[in-house]
Amino acid sequence: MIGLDFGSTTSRAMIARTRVGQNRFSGTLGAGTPEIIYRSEPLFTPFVDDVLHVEDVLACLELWLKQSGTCAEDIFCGGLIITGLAARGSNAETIAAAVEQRLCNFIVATAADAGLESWLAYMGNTQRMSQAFPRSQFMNLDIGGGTTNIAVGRNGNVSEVGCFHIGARHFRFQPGSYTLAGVSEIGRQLADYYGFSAEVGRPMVRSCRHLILDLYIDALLAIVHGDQAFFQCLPGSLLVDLPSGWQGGEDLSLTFSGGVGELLYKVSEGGALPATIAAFGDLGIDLAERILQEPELCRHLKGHVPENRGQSTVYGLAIHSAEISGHSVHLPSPSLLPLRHLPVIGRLCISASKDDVAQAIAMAARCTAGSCLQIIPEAGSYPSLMDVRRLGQHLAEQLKSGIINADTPLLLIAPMDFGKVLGSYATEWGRIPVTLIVVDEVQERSVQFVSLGCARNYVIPVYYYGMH
Amino acid sequence: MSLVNHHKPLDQIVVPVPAREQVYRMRVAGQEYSFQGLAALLGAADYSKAGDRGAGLAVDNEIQREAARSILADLTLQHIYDHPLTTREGDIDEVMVVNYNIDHDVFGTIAQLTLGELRDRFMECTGPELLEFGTGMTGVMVAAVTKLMSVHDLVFNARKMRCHSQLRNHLGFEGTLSSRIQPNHPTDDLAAITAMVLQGLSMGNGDQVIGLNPSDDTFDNIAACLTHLDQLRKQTGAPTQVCVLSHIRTQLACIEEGVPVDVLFQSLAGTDKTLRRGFDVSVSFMDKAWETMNKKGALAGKTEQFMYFETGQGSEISYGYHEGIDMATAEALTYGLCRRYTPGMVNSVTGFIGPETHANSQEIIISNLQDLFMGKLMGLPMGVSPCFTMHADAGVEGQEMAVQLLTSAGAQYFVDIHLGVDRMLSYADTSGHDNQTMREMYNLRPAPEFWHWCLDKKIFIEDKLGRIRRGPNWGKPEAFCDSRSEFDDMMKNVPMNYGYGSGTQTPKTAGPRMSSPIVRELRMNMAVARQAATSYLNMELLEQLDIRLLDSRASSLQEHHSNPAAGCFLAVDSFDALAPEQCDIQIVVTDGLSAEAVNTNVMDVLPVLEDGLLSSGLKLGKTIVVPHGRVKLAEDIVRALGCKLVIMLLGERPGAGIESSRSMSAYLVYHLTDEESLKEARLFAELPGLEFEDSVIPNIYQGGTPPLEAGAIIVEQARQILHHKAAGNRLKCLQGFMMGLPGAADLPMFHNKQDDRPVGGIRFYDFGNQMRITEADIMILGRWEVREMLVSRRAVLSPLAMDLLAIERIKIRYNDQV
Repeated sequence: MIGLDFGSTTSRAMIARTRVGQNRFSGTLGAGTPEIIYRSEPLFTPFVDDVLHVEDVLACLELWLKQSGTCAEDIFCGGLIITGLAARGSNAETIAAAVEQRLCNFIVATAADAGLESWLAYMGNTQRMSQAFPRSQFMNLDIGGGTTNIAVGRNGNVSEVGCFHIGARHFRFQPGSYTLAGVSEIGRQLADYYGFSAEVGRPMVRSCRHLILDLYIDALLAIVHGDQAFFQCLPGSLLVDLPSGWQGGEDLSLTFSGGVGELLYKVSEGGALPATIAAFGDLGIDLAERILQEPELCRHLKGHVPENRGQSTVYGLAIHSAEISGHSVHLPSPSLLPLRHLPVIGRLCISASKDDVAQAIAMAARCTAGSCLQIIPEAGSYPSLMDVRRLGQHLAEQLKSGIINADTPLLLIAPMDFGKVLGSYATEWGRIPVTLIVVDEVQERSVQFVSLGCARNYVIPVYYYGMH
Repeated sequence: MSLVNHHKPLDQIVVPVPAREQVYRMRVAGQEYSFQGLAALLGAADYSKAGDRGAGLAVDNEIQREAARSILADLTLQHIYDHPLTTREGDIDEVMVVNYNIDHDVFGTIAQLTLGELRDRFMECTGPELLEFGTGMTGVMVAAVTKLMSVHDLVFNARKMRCHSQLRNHLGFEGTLSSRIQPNHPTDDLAAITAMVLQGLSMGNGDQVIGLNPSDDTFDNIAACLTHLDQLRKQTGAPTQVCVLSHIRTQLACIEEGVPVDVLFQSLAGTDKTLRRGFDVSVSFMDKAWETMNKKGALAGKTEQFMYFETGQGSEISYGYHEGIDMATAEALTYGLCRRYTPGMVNSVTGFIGPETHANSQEIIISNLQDLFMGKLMGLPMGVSPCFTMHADAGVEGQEMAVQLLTSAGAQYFVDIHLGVDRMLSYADTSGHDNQTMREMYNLRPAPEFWHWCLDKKIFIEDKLGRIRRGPNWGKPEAFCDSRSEFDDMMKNVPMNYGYGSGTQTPKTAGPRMSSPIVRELRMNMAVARQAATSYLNMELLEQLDIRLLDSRASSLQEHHSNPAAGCFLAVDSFDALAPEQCDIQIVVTDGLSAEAVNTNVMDVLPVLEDGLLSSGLKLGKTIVVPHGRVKLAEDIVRALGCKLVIMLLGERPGAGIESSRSMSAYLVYHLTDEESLKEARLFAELPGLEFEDSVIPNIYQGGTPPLEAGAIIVEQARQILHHKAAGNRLKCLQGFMMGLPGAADLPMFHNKQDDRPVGGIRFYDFGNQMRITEADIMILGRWEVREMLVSRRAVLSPLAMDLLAIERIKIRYNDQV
């Protein structure tokens, strides 16, 4: 399992190993506890003239594979994410495709998927801690160079995500000084709003830096409080990338990740901030210093110390980018895999009526490259024979009409182990000529797309992305 | 030093030509009792145990038994020497030969003693003298004298003997009690295994060995587990050794690849047929394994006690290769074989098999004590596992009595299974709490090096009177971790982990014992499992269906459990009531070892099965229900009905978990009829008389494979079996991992690939000894247009490689013999 994170400032890789085997106790196949076998040192993201090039990304990948002693062929699943300012380059999708090709087995590769990035950071940084304190609500603030990705959840489950342009590198400086070396589009908009000149080659004066840092701190507090109004008018509205639905609440514990998060924990554990204020050539150290002065933001720094801190996204990518299916899926042929970029067009309740099913299948028929429906059991309980049989028969009725081409994949994702039985009823035990795949034991999520990797040891990696 | 320096090669061991079988007679109160041959006499003289009763080797009443004992007591050791026990065919097998590798000088001093006199001599002599006598005795002699001994005799004499062993530490000294940590996990999850090892170490266990029974015997997994345990040993600094109890061939492969193997494990048995057919090894193979270990093992040059054997009364009977030899005698013969390899540890796991060998706690306790005495007398460092299964009339109380007696008798070690229930093998054994209780009651310490390590880690302390006491870190595994949450995180993947859930505040211990909440949860789970094992089919429920009710030859639940063969056949009336029906498939419902499992799941599985099979155009017979049946009953039903396939739905042996005690299996038993399939199957299995192949879908319950889903899986599997005319491993090789219904490939979007390859190119490819065949290998064969490939039987094919084999239509043949 691999995670590759190309961010605004730094890039990292993490490789984990797990074993997919049969549980003698339950008889089911599943993945064991992943073991991290490689954590790369952070590299400065190899921009050339503010652009990330395919060759440089592949060179990083080769270096990491070599250092970890891993063959590309051994990679079963994983993720590549290009985030923040790195994703602004027009070639992000090309890079993603090149990495996919190099790693032989399919991994998910996305650029500028803010919701996914927030979710990954939470899973990588906060999930284990939130499971250790299952009654507490946790918010993770992943503060990087271009954005702050937030995710709120309880007991390991994320309920809200959001993304804001609060980042260290909207104003970049020449090393050792505050002389501007570059300004992002957001940085320019902020400078315009506050009416100061952000000209490359000229110093950014203390008062201007304070204006920006004050705004950042106010925005972070507004995020924590769930103050939606702050982001509905200027200058807060300039910071919104993916609005969060978080309305605020009691007992919220904060965790931090990303480059700024790493600095915060370093200081709280007795370390010092780097001596040169602009050592990293951005506002990262200044922002960390300001957060440390804000009691409401730093009250949990000592009590809740997550284990991955700055490496949360890459950890999340390595361990959580794919969900592993159950072992008894309905799949007419493994040669259908991998299946990429299927739009998730809706949810079907297990007790869906004939009309509901007809409507859903009609929508699927319009997606000529294939589509996905998520199947939802009643109140989270395992469905009865009657439910499965009835839904299967409704589906069979529609599929028999030929509304969906025989070679157009229709993917059903079920959260519990009833994929094969549902698929069997829906295809009348294989007699209806349709490419119906039912992957089970994969939790439903609010996403736009899903991809399936290749099967290995009877299980399939399932990738969700484009989170709402 | 090599093995021949210790023991003679097989062909140099002298074994007397068996004298003509003698009839032993005795009159008691005017009635004559006679026993045909020494084996029968030995069987009759033993305490009555289920396995011997089932095999017809035990006698019916106490007078017969005492008559046999009286006759035995008057036989000399020379008589026993002159009558080596033979196989059914009249041969002397290799295990018997090895047993005659004795010290003839010592034998000469006792040869003319009767067994009764020898028993009396034992009661008088010291431990070292006893051990000296043992060197001049064969397993049969040892078993014979053991049958004349009572519980007190066995404990009194076993206690006198100490059999030392030296590995990384020194084991078996007076005043010590050692333990093996057994961190078994159903998926070999290394984090969970680590948690259980650390838990065990924190309670002062593991000085004998940290020994894992793996769930997956592949080279990769065994190598990973060995390496991981070795790292754990080094990280904690615990002066002990590690072992992964896989098949010996896999461990030897690990040695060849440089993986550290401290201790080489193998299960052994007391007849050559069990050894070869049950455990896939022979004496000559074991000799070679010893030599390899002596040269390349992790402890090579430091000790020669690097072998670890597991034994236990009843394996020969369970496999059906007992050769007319009773369980205790076969066990003593096993010890004669163990002795050849000067092992560092031997563990008797009598009780593991179940009620077909030991019906209740008393039978298990007697066997435990016999095993300990016999093993020690033959010079073996004996550990004993007083274990039980949920379907035997044995329980925790009997087990704890056994532990007391065995400790008193000087057992070298017990196992430490987390909370006393094995999560992979579904049985109950001793826990770390039991070991600590014994240490404190009898003031016993672990091996000296390990004791000092424990003192250093504050796991133990020594009080002013020199007694062992729990230290401040006893039972605190987090002392080995960065934090308690790190330990909890690893522990969360351990099933049946009562009281150890993340964030739980349940106290873990009460003194050396488990805390009350943990005991109550554990015992309740066991009670539920036991009830499942003794439950009956719910006929009211089943009669709602359209069924026909038949009987097996087991007339009661007790007979069903104690005599497995009875459940393998229909009762005569039931058989006669059936006539050939020309159906494709017959569904049969029977209780197996848990009727509760059937009652819970069958009503969900059956409708799906019927829907799927009928939709597939298959002809089904009216469902049959047979109380008290076993899997093999399917063959009798095929003979009666002439169907192609029987789907047997039956309950599995319950473990100690509430959910898993309701676990059902489906066995799909295929009758091979056409010439080509018969030929292929017999060649594949190397069994000339093979008539049936079977596939199994296990763990059907809501915590495993839910019954609805299982129904669809069974339908798919049944169609595949009928399509390919093969089941079991042969089916897997033929079809690969298609994850779909046969016939799906004929649908329009999956063009059915025709075998239109030219007859040129390479027809065969031999992989030689290559152990891992991946999809990349098969892709190359595809490019070369290879039609058949030759591989070792022990080679592991990846699922995708098997897919590709099916897609490319490449046949598998084997290039080696078993």
